[in-house]
Amino acid sequence: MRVKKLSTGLTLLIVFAMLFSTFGCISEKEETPAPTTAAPTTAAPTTAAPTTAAPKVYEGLILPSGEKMAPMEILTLTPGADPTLNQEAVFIAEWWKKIGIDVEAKAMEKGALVQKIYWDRDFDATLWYIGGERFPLYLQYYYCEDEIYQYGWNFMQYRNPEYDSLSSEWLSIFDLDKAQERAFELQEMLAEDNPQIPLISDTKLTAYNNKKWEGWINQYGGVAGFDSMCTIDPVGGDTDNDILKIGLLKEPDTLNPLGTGFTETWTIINKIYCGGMWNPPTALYRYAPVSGELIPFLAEGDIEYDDATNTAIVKLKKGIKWHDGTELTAKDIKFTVDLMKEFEVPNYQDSVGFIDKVETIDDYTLKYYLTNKTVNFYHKTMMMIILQERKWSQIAEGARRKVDPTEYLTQCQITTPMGAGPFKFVEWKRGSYILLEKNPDWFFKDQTLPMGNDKLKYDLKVDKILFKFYASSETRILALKNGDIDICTIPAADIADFEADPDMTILEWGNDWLDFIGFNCTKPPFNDPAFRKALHYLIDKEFLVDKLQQGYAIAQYSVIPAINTFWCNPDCPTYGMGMSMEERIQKAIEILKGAGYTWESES
Amino acid sequence: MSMERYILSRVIQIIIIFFIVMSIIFLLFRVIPSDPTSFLLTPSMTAEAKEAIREQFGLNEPIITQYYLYFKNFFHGNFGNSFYGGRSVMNIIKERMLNSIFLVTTAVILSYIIGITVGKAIAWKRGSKTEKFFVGLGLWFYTMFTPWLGILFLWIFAFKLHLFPLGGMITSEVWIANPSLIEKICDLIHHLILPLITYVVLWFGGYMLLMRNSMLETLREDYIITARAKGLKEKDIRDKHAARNALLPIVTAFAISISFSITGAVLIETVFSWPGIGRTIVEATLRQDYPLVQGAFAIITIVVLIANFMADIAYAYLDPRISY
Repeated sequence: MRVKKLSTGLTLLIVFAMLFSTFGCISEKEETPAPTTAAPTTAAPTTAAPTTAAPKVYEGLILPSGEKMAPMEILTLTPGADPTLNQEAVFIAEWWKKIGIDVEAKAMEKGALVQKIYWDRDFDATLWYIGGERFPLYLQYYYCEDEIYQYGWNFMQYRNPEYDSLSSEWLSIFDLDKAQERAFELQEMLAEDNPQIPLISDTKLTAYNNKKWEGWINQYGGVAGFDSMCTIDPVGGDTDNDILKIGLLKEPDTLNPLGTGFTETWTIINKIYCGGMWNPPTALYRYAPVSGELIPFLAEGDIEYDDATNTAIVKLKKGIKWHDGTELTAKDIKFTVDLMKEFEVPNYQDSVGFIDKVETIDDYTLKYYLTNKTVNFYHKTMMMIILQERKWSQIAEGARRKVDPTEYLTQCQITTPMGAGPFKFVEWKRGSYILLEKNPDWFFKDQTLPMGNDKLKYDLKVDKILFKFYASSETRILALKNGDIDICTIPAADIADFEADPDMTILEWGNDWLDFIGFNCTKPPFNDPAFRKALHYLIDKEFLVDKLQQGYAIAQYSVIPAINTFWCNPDCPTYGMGMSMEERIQKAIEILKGAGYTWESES
Repeated sequence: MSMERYILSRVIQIIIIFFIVMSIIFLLFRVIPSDPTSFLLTPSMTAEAKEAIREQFGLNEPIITQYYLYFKNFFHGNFGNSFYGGRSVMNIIKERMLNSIFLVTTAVILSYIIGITVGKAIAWKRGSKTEKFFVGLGLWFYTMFTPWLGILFLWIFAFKLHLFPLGGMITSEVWIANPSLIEKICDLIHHLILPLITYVVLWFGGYMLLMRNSMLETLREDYIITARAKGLKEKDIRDKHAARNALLPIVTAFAISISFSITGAVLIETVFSWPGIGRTIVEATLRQDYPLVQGAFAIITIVVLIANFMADIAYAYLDPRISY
């Protein structure tokens, strides 16, 4: 009996010990790399000779106002949602600690994070991302005074009247060279003021099965884009049933082009519809493949813009057919613009907000009357969705009778999307796949667009596109290896695996999004440009590129991603590039001392 | 207390519990520091447009109004439209729940059958090596991390041996080529087998141990000795006398498991890309898609409460010793 009691007691003890050790580990904060603390030097301060003298330790930053700096947090996404952003925040916090700031990286769930930084504006600094638009309109709306309201985009609350006037003027410069010049100037202003510190733009990897399709185009935005899908050739000969299989991680929300702003949904529906959101490839005008030049697609020739009256004449090509065989005419385009204005469709307000009215001069010519001159006309209005009047006038009629017409219009369930694109909608099996088939009557079939020194022929060898849904990215990669899908993006960790496989070819492309640190420019000391600049010096972007991304990234010094070669200013000041950590700290201290900052203890 | 009074008191209890659960779900979403519209706003929208979207989702109304509308709509059978795409919540739930029931209910029934068969056999052979082996096996799988086993099976049987597909409910290539009904059914079953096996392997242990415990209790009863004394076959004693009585707690556990099967099995659904309700609820929660999650939880609450209730009544009928 005694032995039994003893053994039971021992077992219980061991169990408790295990539980304690488990819970003990959880209560500790997220483990960060231990900062290197140097041994304190003797009384005499060391001068600049970083290799021989032991570096100083700065603690307890005191602001010029005399008070000690309060502890701060860098808010960012959780490791599960975005491991890169999270890791960057952790490293940056460690670097900033070296000049005596009490800083921690804090992970939050996306919805809560957006609420805190965009709606409540209750933060010190945040690690976030920007980009996606080929024409970087965010260069204006992200920093202007008008966007400092509760849901506005200027969550950093950066106020610079000179920047505001220069950037809004930029929006009315139609001359590309002058516009580029102005954009470069704006980027330099931001690099000087540092309301946000751009960090890196990662390089993505796409692997495709080279036994299935060839001729993929690697350009801005990725490999498996619209131009690729219209021009690739099946390896091993063209048959009547060549199916291109794409794997998606997110099922689209709707086929209604008015109600969705998700990039994932648009990668599917931009094959069906003409125009839309997120750099649409089949609108009145579009960006040429690779070069990015604005060229007519559905339109004919150039826009005739009259500066004096702010009117524009746009000509439409003849013979463009909807999927039901009827012709796409100027009436459809006018109908769409009027519809957007009447119902105030949220996602297209920036396309029609400055349009007073539009007239159809004849079936193929339109005259737009603008209230002011703005490049949004080219990059938004000319790329807007085009809806078929026949189908949508009925839906609009129904919407007008409802309590909330806009909601009805944008949330209407479209089961048979009517577009004029190269692919027609066939079936959406919820939870499993979406099937599109080739539109043999596409107006642009077998025509060419210039690409560099070559011509790209849109011969639509793809007969069907099958978009399959996968719940996790690991399963999707297995599916690529298995041949269940033909192409997908792979993480850098898998590159060795795919390089060893002769059936797989890997392409690298620069992401058109970049990560940045945004400061709350109303809260001291983040309202001091000298402080922000000092912090910029401390960030070792080369480390982030080499160690965090294994070399698959580019260090960013401009707020526009480097892949956007036309608009990105390559000559922005490169704070701290090539400096060692000691040199960076010295430079930062120098700037801060010059601006009146002191420390509780410098040893 | 008579049966009628018992039923009445239970029904009232159910209604009260239902209201409490629904209110908690409602409050939970309003209390999380997050905003569903944060996913829907794009740079193209003006300030007015963003405000309009919030109006549209009824997020600007005072909480009391939202609460009142919540219950009012529920009693009209209107769960609203999903924030993600505007599709009717009822349609989404119907579709996904059917998918889940197809997988999870089958899995529960199969684990139940295997569990009780093995459970009664090993209880009969108390103390033998077989018993120790199965108890160990059952426990080992029961405590295993679900996604790990799922991915392992996927890797071995689907990826390496190419016996089964890599997930999903159907093979898209088959379904886009006008298949016959037989082909469709075969394809569905082909996809069902691997997640089904994963589920059964992981969960049969629970039923098995429950049955074994129940049997061990029954075996102590006097009527077993009587049956043996009468000269009945061992197998008959085990199956017709002991097991039948031991089944009572299992039946109630089964009824509740079946009702919970409509919640799907999130981990298995995610690993096998099965379009079920469990996965849908998790994704909707992460997107703050209130209407979908509220609707799904409402239906789950009702089904579970009713199943519980039925189990209680059934128990009373099955076991004449019990009276209320």
